[in-house]
Amino acid sequence: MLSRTAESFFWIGRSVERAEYTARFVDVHFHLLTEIGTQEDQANIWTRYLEDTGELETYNEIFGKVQTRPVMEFVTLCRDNPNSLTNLIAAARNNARGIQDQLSSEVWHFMNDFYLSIKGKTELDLWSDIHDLLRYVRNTCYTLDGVVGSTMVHDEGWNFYRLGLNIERGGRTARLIDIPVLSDPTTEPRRISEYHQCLAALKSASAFEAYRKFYSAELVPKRIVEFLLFHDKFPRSVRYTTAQISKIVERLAGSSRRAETRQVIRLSGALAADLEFGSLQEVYYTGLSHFLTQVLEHFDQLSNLIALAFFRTSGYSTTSQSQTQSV
Amino acid sequence: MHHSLRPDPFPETPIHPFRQALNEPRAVDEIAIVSVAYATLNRANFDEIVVLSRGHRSRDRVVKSLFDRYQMKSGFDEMFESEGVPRRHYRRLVERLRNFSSKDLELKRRQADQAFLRQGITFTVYGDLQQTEKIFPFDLMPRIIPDLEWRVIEEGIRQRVMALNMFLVDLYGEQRILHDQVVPRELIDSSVHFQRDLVGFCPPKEVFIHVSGVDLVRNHEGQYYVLEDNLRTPSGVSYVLENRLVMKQLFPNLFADMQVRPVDQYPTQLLENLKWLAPLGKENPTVVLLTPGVFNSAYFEHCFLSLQMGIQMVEGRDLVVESDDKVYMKTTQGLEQVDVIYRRVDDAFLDPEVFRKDSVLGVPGLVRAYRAGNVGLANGIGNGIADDKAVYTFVPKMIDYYLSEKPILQNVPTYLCGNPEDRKYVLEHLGSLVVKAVAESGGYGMLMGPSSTKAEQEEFRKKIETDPRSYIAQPVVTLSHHPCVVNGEEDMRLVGRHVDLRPFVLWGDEISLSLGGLTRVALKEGSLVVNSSQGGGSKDTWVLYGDE
Repeated sequence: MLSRTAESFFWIGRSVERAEYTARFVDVHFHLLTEIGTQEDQANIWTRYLEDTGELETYNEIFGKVQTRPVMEFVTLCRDNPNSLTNLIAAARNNARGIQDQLSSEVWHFMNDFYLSIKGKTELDLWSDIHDLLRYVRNTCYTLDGVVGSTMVHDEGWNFYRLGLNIERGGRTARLIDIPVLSDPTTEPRRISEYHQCLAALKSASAFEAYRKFYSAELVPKRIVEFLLFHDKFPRSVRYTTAQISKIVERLAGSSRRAETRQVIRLSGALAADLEFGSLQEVYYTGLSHFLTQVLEHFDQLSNLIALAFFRTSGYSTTSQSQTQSV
Repeated sequence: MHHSLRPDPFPETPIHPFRQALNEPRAVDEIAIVSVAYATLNRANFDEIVVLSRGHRSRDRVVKSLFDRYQMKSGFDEMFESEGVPRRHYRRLVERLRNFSSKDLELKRRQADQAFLRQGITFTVYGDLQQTEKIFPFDLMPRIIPDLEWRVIEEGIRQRVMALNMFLVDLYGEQRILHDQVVPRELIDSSVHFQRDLVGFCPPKEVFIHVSGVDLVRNHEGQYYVLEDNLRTPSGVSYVLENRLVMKQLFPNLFADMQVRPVDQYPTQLLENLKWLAPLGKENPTVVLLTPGVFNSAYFEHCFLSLQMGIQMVEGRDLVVESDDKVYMKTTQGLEQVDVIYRRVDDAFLDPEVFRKDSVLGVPGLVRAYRAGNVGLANGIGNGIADDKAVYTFVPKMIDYYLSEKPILQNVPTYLCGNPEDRKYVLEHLGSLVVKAVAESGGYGMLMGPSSTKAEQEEFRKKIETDPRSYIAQPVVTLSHHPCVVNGEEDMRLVGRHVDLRPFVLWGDEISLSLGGLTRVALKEGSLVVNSSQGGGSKDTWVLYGDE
């Protein structure tokens, strides 16, 4: 498969997953915040979110002070924010457009319709029913994943799509857990705002219902962390995504002996093992935030290595050429 | 291309009899009977009401509904000899469609639009500000060419492409035709399309023109003329294939009766020819299609052809020429050698090392690899010189010079503004001529004399006086017209619209033509410009096994 094609598949997966997480996070927090009350609490949560996604500076340049209303516009329809919902869907669709010949027509048409519909949304649409807009984006992302899974051949391209999606998903879940209220295993959420933050973390990963079935509705920080980090069957837990990533990478690498490819396999395997065999005690011993920072660093490294091994072609022409010729 | 002599008899798939009646009206009585029966079965069915109402009309009124309301205009009509009298090769079609009402046409038209949309055969106007997807307008009424006529076209085009290829081989080789002063040297020297760097290089198997699309028009007497040869990267063949597919869906039974020759061997033939270009000794050559990318207006066709041939479509940035002068594509498994490139990128953008330095669409070093014989290219480089509209005037002389034959197909008479006498005539008659820039194509850089303003004429006068070599002029050819289905004030009706014909020519082991080609229609009333970018549409084009 052409490197460019593979990279497009990868970024379609990432962009759509990012849009889905963003829509869900914003929706959940916007509605929970109305219950929390103080302007300051609200500003803190949004600031944290913008820091996490690396958008705080861009935001400040455009809107200045962090306040709920402009933040909502910034993350949904703002054209100057590369990670706004509009721009994420546009990015996914542009990637799809360049590899139309590799997609099923269902995927292409669905993607194009999605793009055209979100592009047509205005601030009026946003404020007339914000929940409706966010739910629409979230649900369309779910559906898109379904269309991809059920109409495309599960070959190399599809694997790159899944790879991008899982890397994004794992990273986003890890960031959700990295909040002060979860960092101390001995506390129980007492203040009403703490309770809501716990709830928001779960809901942002669409994990609340699953958690409730598993542990009952009682919100215990330790259990929340355990669920989102280590659950072996919940598809958005960090452990689940790293296991997926490792499997996909092995499939993609096949029997390749290139050094870059072997490194990708090694790192993704190590990351998956960390989460498969890690324990809560260790996490809290290291410190939750510290542990998560390490995990996120691994995700970043992995992304770079994947690019080197599969997408960047300049660096390996001599070795790969001799291989091609010997085949 | 190999054709069996007879068409495969299209198996009659069992269709609901009433459906069939709808698809293809038979004798009026028969329809009346089945529709009455059908009506008793299901009164609420809309389709049946159409059939029913038609069946009960008197024959005269039914006939008036379609062809009899068609008014012939002055000029050559492809379908009718005289008012109400179809030409011999159209008789059967007219007979079969005689009972079609305006409503039937509307239904078929809707089905056609849906089919094109569904299959994604759209012109995509995807600018960042306004993003729309348009269907390339398709006209339901097919254009028919009888066998005898087609043979002349085929022979004429074969002869022409042969001579043009010999011209290119000569021009980039010994230049005998210049020494013998059959074609003036200054004409070549002054052309931007002549690739001087490639003089002395002969492409593999002495073929430059692997794919061409020769534009033919007919004048008021029905005489065929060649308008352009399109030897660079002609497009449109995807519409030929898709138009046929949709027509077959809409009128399945018509094809069985009409003895229409198939068009669908084109992609297979093209792939075979491309493989033939692979460097010697390559058993299973890797063939790719090089596209300028999604912003190119023919991007749909590039996707379509790669899918049809089952080859990889690549962009310039996917390819790299290594120090061994071989071309590789960058894949997830490393570099993979490419043996043949069907390029849909113009010469100027092909290789920034040789041509335009600012091109990001091309592949640095591609010409190097090509000259080293490590990669096959279709089309060859430098064909543009033979597409130059001033050089075009010498094609009849080339045919005589290289083949010692008389041209079978005529050129449109052309005045070279570079010639003092011609120029004088052109400047005196700007209001009645068509003036064209020699290096342009696709309907750009043209002055349509009769419909131009004084200001436009003055503009062209200045252009011609400053740079006479770059302009030619031709008398206005009143193109033939063909009945087309258009929206009338109240209903769908048939009206005459101007058409041309672009057969596609493939050169591999031998020269072969697409059977028919693309018939383009100027859908605007009175317009003589058929280019798709200027509001043109297309028709399915039928070459018959016989003459009626």
